[in-house]
Amino acid sequence: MPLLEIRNLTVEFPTDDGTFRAVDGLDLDLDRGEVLGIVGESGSGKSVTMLALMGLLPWPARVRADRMSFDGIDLRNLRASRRQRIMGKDIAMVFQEPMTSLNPCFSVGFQLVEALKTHEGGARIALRRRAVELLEKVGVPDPERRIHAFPHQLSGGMCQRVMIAMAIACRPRLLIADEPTTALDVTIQAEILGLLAELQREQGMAMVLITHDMGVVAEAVDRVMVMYASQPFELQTTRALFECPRHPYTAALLEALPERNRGKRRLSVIPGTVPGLADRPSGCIFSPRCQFVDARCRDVPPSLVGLNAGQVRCHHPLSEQPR
Amino acid sequence: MTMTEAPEVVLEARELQRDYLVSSGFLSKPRTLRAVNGVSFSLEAGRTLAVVGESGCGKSTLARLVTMIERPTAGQLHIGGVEVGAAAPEELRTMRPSVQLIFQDPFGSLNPRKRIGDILDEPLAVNTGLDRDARHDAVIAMLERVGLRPEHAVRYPHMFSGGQRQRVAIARALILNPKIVVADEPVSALDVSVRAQVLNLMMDLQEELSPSYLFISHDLGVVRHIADRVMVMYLGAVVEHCEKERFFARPLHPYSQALLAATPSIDGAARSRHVKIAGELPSPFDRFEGCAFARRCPAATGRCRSERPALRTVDERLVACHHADSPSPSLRPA
Repeated sequence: MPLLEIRNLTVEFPTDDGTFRAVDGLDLDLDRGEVLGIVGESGSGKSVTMLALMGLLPWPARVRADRMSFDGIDLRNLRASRRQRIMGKDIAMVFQEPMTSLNPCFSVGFQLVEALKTHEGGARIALRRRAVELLEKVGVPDPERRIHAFPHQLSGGMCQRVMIAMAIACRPRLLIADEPTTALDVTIQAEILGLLAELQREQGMAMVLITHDMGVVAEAVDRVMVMYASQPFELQTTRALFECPRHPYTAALLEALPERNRGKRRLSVIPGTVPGLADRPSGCIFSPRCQFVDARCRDVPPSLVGLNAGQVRCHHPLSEQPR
Repeated sequence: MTMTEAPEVVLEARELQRDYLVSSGFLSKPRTLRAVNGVSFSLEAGRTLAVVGESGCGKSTLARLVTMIERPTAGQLHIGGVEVGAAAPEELRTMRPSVQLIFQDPFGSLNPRKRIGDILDEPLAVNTGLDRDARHDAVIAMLERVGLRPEHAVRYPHMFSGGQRQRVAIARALILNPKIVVADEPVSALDVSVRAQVLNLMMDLQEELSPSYLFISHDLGVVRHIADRVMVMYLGAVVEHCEKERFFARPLHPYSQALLAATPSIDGAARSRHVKIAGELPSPFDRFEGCAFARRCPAATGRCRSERPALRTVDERLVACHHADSPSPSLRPA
């Protein structure tokens, strides 16, 4: 049994102009200790998927799923007290903006101890010692002193380290990192990604890394899910995805990267824009922008089908010709 | 390169310096923060100079100096042959339209209460003597040039996507046909597929209207595509400045190497050499004797900590490192 199992997850938000579907029919299996990347452009539903899993989507969001379980526990209709015991302990999350995720009114030590106290309890001195150890583990220099620091006294990279320390405090079995390095500089990004990989290996936890940066995906994860406008389009091992993408969207996305356009004056582009609420096509959601589109694509929405080791949602998946 | 004679230099900066006084609390004396420290460069007509560096390295302050929003504390800035510091206010007013700015965030840089047509009309109304009809024609022509449709002129910014808004921002910057366009992270808020469209647009417009771009970015992948020359800044000073191909083939300054190594790449092979640097940017208030990068540099020696390296010519480029010409096996790629 996989650690995390999601079947046919749909998330909808009612708006004045009708219902907006943010996630549409998402299936996902994640094994213990596995690292999965979810990559997609803004609005593709990658963050909403994980927020739905955590139960962090407030009313009026509508979350429906045929199955959504973590380690055998059904997450769909969990009582609040039960959910509290799982979230933050077995499933932890690191957010994009470290500066705004931490409470500016309390020292980082207080916030770390709070997380430990909620889930594990124990004497104050012991908790405090644990907090110092955790800060040391995530590479905060001089943790004995930094434990008294307030978030505004730390840099963005240091705040993100504190966030990671909080997330791993109770040894979670699943860590969700939502764009953990997007707000950071590249040299700091490299350090944080290295730290996450190290902690993941050491603690054997499963990790979901949400990002929009193909470079981060290539370096940090084993398996990738590509999302587009609420739907998962392709699921592959990282290597296979970059060597021979099977979905035309993935291929076009990779071709649009400056790295794949060396020596060319113009970058290749994907024409058009992501469909909104009003112009959502009835067939394949990518059909208005796809170069291989035919009548079937315009009318019949494709479903996610298995293809070798991966999955792809396309009537005409690209052949296995490496680039 | 600053030392070779270029066909036409539209902008020349000499030893630019910009200090800010920062309050350090009630009753205590404000401290001086040197955001830009002795930066010299020149910009040639129709070319692109990329300014690269991490947050706090002074690249945005440099943009404010070049666009004449702020005056340098010391140093000289020549735009179109006129020294900005010595120019009369009236003269400055005529110079300003020739330098335009594109901002990072297309959601914050367009007035939500104005129609796109009015946003584009305003620079024309203020700076040219054109009548209403002529301005309208110019606005429509510019909209079409950036890939938008004439009917978009009557819409408001919130009706557009991020990429389309950035097109409007580019149209606004270029409608006065400026000599220099300062683009401060113009594509970093955009998604990959849209980013490619906007970069292509910027390159097409440069070919048509030949503005020079001062392209500020932290994304070396983008810089490698669009720039002619690259200038790397660290803590307010230039550490390396050279022609693009030469820079990406073999960066000489350890900081440039670290930046290049830290940039995630989709091609695993491209990352064979890995220069690790530890730690973070030191506080800009700190005054130190030696090289600003010495504390994070894996190849730092005693000399680096005591003596500030000057910008000098090595291998046809400018680089500020004591060890740029002494091959160190741990750092230099083969």
